[in-house]
Amino acid sequence: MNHEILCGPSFSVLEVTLAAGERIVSEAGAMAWMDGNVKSETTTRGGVLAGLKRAVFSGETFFQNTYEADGGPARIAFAPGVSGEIVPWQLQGEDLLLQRGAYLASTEGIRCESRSEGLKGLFAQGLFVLRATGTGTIFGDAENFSTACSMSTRLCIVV
Amino acid sequence: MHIDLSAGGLFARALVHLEPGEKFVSDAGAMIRASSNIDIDVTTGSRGKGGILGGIGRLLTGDTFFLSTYEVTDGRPGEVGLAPTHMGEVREVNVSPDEAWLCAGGSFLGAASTLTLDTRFQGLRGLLGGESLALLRVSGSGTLLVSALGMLTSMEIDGELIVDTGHLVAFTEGLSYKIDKVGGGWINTWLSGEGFVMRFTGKGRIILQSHNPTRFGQMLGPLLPERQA
Repeated sequence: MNHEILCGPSFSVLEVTLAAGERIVSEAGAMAWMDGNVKSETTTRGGVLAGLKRAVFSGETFFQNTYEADGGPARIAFAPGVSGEIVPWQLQGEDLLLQRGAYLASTEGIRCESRSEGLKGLFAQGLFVLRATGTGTIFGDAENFSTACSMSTRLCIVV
Repeated sequence: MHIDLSAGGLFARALVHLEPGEKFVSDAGAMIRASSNIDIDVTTGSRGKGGILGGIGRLLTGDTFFLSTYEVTDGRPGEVGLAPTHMGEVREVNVSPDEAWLCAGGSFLGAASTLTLDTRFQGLRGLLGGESLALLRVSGSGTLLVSALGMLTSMEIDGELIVDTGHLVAFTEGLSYKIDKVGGGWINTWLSGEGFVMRFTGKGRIILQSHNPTRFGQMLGPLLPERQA
């Protein structure tokens, strides 16, 4: 899978080229354009509860879309709702905590769930953040206005 | 006529230099400045082909009812500056007589008066697509200015391309599209958050914008303070 950040840095769009059979997951509503041979599937990824937690607590979408290149290579582009940077991040089994609403897309090996920050979260970003685990690439965006700034200042790796 | 587009792309504007006898047409309200020898005529159509019906047709494209026509009056060159509503890029499209363009109404900024503007009704598919009921058809020979929320991407289609309706700016008439569902079934499509998409087929060029104004509005809306009475 190859990816390219187009139109950056102010109005970044993520364009991914999938080999036949490869898949990528995105938040609902983020697809901007894609080739005709891309199949999509909408699920809660992780069950109803995981979807609900993600949506209610972490400012993400209840459903996530999985796109697959069917029968040949295909490209697909994802755009965040607001302008800003898109940052790819490689994960190899460790956790990544993301600001509410910062998730755009990821490779299939990555799971996203909501995680409580406890009381201290109330004073910072909100009670819940999004936790990504697994192996692969995750694409984050500066979607959340309230702290809109470059992603790099809002991503941190938890040991 | 030549057009200067400000570099950078973030908050673009176009500066149109007019020679005597040349005319340029834009959305009413798009002008930011004009030299003193520019005459501005506000009508419902370009080249007298419009009338009230033309204006109403344009309203259905999501565009303005009135068009402004700019022309120099004193035989000396003049200039007029135009700016779109959204922050983003402005691009020149050279329209040739053998290929007309169809433009999403909200993306039209202006056109040379040598071009003919009329509306193409999209019927049910326009309504379903979440876009406007009609597209603006630009034909003839001359320069068309389109604008975007964000940046513009131009690509050639030879085969098939699926586009989220909010990202469409303009396409050549050689392409046709139908409104389609993105997923396997209609429920899936509704859940996917994409709504309807446009499935383009044929051979031609398409211009897309990086960001979707409707989605941008949905995200911005809840953050705005309540309106004071």
